[in-house]
Amino acid sequence: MNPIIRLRGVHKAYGELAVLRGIDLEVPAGQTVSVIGPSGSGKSTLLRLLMTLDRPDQGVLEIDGESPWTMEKNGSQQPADERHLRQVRGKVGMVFQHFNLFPHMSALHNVMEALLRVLRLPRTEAEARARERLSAVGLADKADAYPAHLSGGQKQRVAIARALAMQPKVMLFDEITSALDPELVGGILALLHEMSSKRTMTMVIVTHHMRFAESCSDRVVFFDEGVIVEDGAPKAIFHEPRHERTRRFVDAILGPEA
Amino acid sequence: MIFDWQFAWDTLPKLMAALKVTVAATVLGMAVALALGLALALARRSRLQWLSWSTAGFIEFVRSTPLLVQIYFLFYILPGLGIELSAFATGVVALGLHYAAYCSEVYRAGFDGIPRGQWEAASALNLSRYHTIGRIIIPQAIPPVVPALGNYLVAMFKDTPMLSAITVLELLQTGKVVGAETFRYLEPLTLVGALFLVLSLISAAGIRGLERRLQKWVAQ
Repeated sequence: MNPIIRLRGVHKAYGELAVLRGIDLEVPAGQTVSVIGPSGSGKSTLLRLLMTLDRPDQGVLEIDGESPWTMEKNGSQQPADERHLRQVRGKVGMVFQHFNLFPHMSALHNVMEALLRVLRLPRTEAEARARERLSAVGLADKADAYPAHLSGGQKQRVAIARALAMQPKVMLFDEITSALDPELVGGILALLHEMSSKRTMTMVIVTHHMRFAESCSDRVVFFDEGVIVEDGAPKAIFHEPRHERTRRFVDAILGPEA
Repeated sequence: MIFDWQFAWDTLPKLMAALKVTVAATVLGMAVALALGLALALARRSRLQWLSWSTAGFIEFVRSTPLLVQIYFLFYILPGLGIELSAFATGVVALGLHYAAYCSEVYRAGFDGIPRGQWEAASALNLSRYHTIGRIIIPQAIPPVVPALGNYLVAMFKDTPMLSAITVLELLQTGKVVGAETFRYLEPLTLVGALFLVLSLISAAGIRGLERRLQKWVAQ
């Protein structure tokens, strides 16, 4: 089966700063992958490229067999037009560290907006789906609240409902608990765990919660200085790392002998 | 010189009629300025380099030349180009163009104030550029700049006497005409000033009210 995500030799620099320096990664559909590594190692940049918020400087990036930035036309590869980019982009959804809810819309309308404008669902259907998604994240009673009146945990739940309502094939989670108060983290992680256990979506999760990465993912990828240092089953990464850098990182976070 | 209240009272109807012209010029001019200013701000942000640069040039040109020169220019040059407008319509266009340049800078500040995360969330939801700007960015960018736009409304209102230069019988010109006919300038000119003052205060209050209503979704 073709991988739903395929990267080959992907490089990305911001100005002088080389953030990704040759990434090869294939993710089969339905897999839950946790991406770990020190700050600035390129984890978030990887997600930005997968979400097509940025484009790679070099290398191949394919979502479900298609490159978002190039298209075949008259038998040759051409720069993609807006329509092609959006067709590929529609297969991916993302939840951000800082939620990025639309502050001028209620929770319900945050979820409904893209259902109406992108999927062009009829209003009643969009509202039904949005309410259903909000209930699924435990916020049925907050549908009419504006983001300013929600707690961090509630905002992140709305953001998750908003992304899930679009039914993407791939969901990206960029440190989605980092901006939350500690007591709210558990609930969000439980929600993630519930999603990943259904195996219906491919999930790429950038996280600092090693225990979560270990217990909830099929696979863990360790990033450092813009390259994938190690890629394997959670047990292997956390308990028998093959690389010294992985060992030091895992030890530093979990403590030795953890 | 004694202020003749009776004379002032008798003059008032004429001035009120002229005030309608002044208010109409302001309202129409501001409508042009708000719409065109937004278009200029969007064109300025365009990814098409030629559009962005030519818009920036236009804005700079308009802001760097006097309004009076622009009014004369349109009044005397447009007919030569086959565009026949009344003096009033020419005045509205001139005020609208001039203030559109200023309003576009205000809108630009509004756009710049929107966090990058909002654009990214819109992209991640696969919204088109049209919907991103129309549904996500503009509704957030405008409420914070309503006070600044309101300042330009009042400024434009106070610039309407310049239209008298191209024969528009607005408030000030009418006051002067009354003065010339009766050799009494004190009462009409005082009333002209008072009317400008009252309307400026009313508009400023209206803008504050609008601002409060637009901000209702912001945390209390």
